[in-house]
Amino acid sequence: MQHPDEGTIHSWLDNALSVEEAARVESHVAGCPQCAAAVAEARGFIAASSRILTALDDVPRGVVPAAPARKRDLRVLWRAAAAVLVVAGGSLVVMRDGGQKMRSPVAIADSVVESTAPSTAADVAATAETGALAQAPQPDASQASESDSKRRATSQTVRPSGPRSSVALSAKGPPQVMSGSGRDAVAQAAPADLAVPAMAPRNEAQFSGIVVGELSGVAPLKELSLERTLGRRRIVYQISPTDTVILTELELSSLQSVVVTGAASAQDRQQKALRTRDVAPMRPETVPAAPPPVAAPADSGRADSVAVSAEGAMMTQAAGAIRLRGATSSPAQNTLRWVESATGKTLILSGKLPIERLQEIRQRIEIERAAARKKSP
Amino acid sequence: MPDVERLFRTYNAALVRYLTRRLGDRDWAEEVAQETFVRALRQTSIENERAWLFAVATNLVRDEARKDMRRRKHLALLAEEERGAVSEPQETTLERAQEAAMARKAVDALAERDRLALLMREEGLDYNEIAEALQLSPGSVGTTLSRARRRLVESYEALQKSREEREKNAAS
Repeated sequence: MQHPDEGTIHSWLDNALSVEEAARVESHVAGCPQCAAAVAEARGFIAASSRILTALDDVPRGVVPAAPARKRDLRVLWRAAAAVLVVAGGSLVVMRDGGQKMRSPVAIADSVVESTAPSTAADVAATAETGALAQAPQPDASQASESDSKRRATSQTVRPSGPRSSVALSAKGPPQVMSGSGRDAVAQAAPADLAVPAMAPRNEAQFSGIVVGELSGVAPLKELSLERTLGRRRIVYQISPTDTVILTELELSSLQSVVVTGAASAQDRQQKALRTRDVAPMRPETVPAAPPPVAAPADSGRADSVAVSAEGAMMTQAAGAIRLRGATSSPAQNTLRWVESATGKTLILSGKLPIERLQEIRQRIEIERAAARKKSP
Repeated sequence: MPDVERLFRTYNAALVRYLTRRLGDRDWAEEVAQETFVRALRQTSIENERAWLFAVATNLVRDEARKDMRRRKHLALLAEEERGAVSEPQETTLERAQEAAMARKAVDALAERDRLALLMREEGLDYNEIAEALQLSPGSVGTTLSRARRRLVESYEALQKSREEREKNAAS
């Protein structure tokens, strides 16, 4: 047979040839280095053009009128919504977790007492240290997960959210509004049974929490490692010889001041993390590398001291159980999440320390970051 | 009458993605897709559903929005670039925006038929469906696609290269 032309090769690779033709091309290519090279090139073009075209999925909605104005509106609305949630969270009653389905979040909607937003959202987080919020990526089955995960901050999107039962938001804020970047920062309490399966496809790993050891004394913050991945920076701070916390800095953020605390054991969390990972293998391009393993101190002897949890798992946890840290609970994995007012970045501080301790560390981090910004603006 | 609800469930996602890639505007893409399904309602029967839907959507874009299209596409591009410039500290965003802008330019550089064939193929249409939707002979689809892919990749790479050179010059 003659050398197949480029169109025939593409047809063959696209399975568009008849069985006989395909067999002819196949046997020819097997014995012809020149055509084998052409086939390899064609495969490259097919893969590359697919990849290029996916970038087109990152488009804004409603190009006319311009989007930036809407973005600002969203931020204001989110700030108000977040404040409402923090206040609401502050008046919640403890709910036990145990991996069980939480009581309906609707029940706690009654406890939204006011929505006056203090001067800055950061203040809210600082004062509402026991505030617990469930946070869940928005379940949104109608969106194809694939194209969704490709959407980035460049596209401001407004889309209907799944559960109408989301607590304060449905009463107060703009419940259906989220920005492309904000899917990791949607302050929305969703029923666990909805949130758990629905979030899986959206599972862009956000942060991982690793904490080793127990609280001991105050030491200067020491950066153990800094890791940059798509859209985030992760810094591991050594708090004491045996304690580390992880600060995750999201480059993009739209949600202000949300505090999440969790009191479940790390083991429980770990199991959930594993389950979530099984269900939803994360897309390689959006998944940051696993956090740098923190060496467990020899004397800790804690089987559960290393808990790698993708955000999906964290959020599952949070969505699954809105709860406050019990007064006597032992330090479990706790997470603080806030937005740095100077940069607008979402920061997530995570560590197996009491929440008060995390608040302290957070203040120190803020001071250090402010100082660093002064030095190199 | 075709079962439009089923058609919608089966093909809406692909159709919207196809149109979004084609138009550079998701809202607009959804409007066109909806109009396409409305048209399907008026049919007594549709033989090859997917080819029919993509053909009608393509024609809707072509016929009804020909004038509007360039303007909006241009604005979409401008908006992307502006966003890229505004969010300078956010490297990821900037990079994504640049990639999207380059992809848009590369796709726009294709001949209309090549572009449509490629976008349809990406949504899973087979050669016969593409041929039917675009009124090509089935035998020419492979050639069309191979040309479209090669040109897309080559012009994207050229854009990438000139961007890298610009950055290098800016850095030095």
